[in-house]
Amino acid sequence: MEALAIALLSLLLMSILSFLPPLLDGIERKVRAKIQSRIGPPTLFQTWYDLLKLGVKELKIPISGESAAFLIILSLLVTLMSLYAVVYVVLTLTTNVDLIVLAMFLVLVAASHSLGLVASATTSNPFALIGSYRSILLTVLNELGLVVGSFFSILSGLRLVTNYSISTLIIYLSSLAILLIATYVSSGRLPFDIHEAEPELASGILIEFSGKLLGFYIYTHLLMRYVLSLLVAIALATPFITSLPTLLVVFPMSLLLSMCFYLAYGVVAALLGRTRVDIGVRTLFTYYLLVLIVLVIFTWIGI
Amino acid sequence: MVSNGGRPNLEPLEFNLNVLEEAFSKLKRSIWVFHLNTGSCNGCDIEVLDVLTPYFDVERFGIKLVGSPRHADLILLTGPVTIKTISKVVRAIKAMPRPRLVLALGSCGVGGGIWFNTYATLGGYPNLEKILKEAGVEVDKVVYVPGCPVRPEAIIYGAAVLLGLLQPKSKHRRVTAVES
Repeated sequence: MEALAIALLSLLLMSILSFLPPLLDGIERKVRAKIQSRIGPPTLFQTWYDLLKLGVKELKIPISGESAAFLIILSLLVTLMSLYAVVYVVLTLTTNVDLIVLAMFLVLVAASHSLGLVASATTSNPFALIGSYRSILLTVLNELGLVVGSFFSILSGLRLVTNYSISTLIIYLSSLAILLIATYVSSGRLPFDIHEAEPELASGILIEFSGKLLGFYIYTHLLMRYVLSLLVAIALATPFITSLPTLLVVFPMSLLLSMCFYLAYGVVAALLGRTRVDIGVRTLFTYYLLVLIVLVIFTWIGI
Repeated sequence: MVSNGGRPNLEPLEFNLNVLEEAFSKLKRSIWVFHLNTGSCNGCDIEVLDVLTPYFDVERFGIKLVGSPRHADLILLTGPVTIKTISKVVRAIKAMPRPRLVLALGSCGVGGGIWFNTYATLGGYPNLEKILKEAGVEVDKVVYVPGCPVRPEAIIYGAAVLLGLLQPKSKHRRVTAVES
């Protein structure tokens, strides 16, 4: 009976959280419009309307891209699994952070990104392939930041609870900085929005997708954005794990914090300009190198 | 399933009338546009860009500019369709998933403008439509928006007429030029 209740609760939470990302995107579009002195989309549900419209459009399968549909659906399923994994981490946050589930979550995130990229590389359009290779380079570099940032921030955050020291605090803050950069880049916002920017140059990874296929890809991407915002919320809550109140307070607080991060990233994106797409990787590498040097030095001091 | 040079061709999918009606109803809330210049003087293109700027802010009607015809619901067609662009224009319109909508903009898009019967142009969208039909490319709805250049307000009004939200302001009668 208890197992059934947990299953039903999980189903309810997953349904609510699956509905949320396109709605958050609608709010982000409205906020961005406000910053740019515009009215913006007519409703907060505009992204949902866009997705529903794509659902009834004709599906045009690109030449030699028959496997793209399968890969995109698989990517969506893997993203839903990663959402479940991160929700499990939040649900158990008041007791401890399950590092095995966290590791599995990172593998699922990497798998979702890889499947999306492989799907984009299946088309025979050479311009789409150029965009895919750029995106692969950026993603491979960023996965490193995501893994280092999330593990170091959560581990050092847990260590802060038991053994507080200045070096641990610096490790925590620098790894949190890496995590913030990595999640921002993974969210595909300016100037790292290669999948969105490049269709304007007729060489993006989305260029050949249409109808339901495009709808699933966009939905997967929005879901992944939300999942990563939730990860940042967990990393922020880790140092306060012993002083956290009951789950009934922690869970809504985590959701609220993740929504705030989602929208904050949107505001940052609205304030940034678009740079040349090939500079993105170089800029990111410089950021990571600087913060990693700080991280390595203080980890060595801490040891 | 039709064979295409040994490769199984999964398209075109049958797009029946019921699906088309449902798709039209969804388009009223969200319409993605692709800008297609078929050899215009750029006057109308500047007005199209004007429509997409924060001043006119067409996002408030659910309209969004996209960079690929695969993502588009509506093509903003400018220019008299020069002979050199025909194959590219046909391919771009064919690449759109159905329902395909076209907004023929400006005097040139509507009927060729001052290039209505030159050797280098087709004379606007009506003549292109014949080529599209011969190529088996079905366009579900077309609205003509005249003007030289076309006004941004007229483009927005044309999009609303296309979606059935407003009635056209005038009816047109196509005339054939008599060569002297």
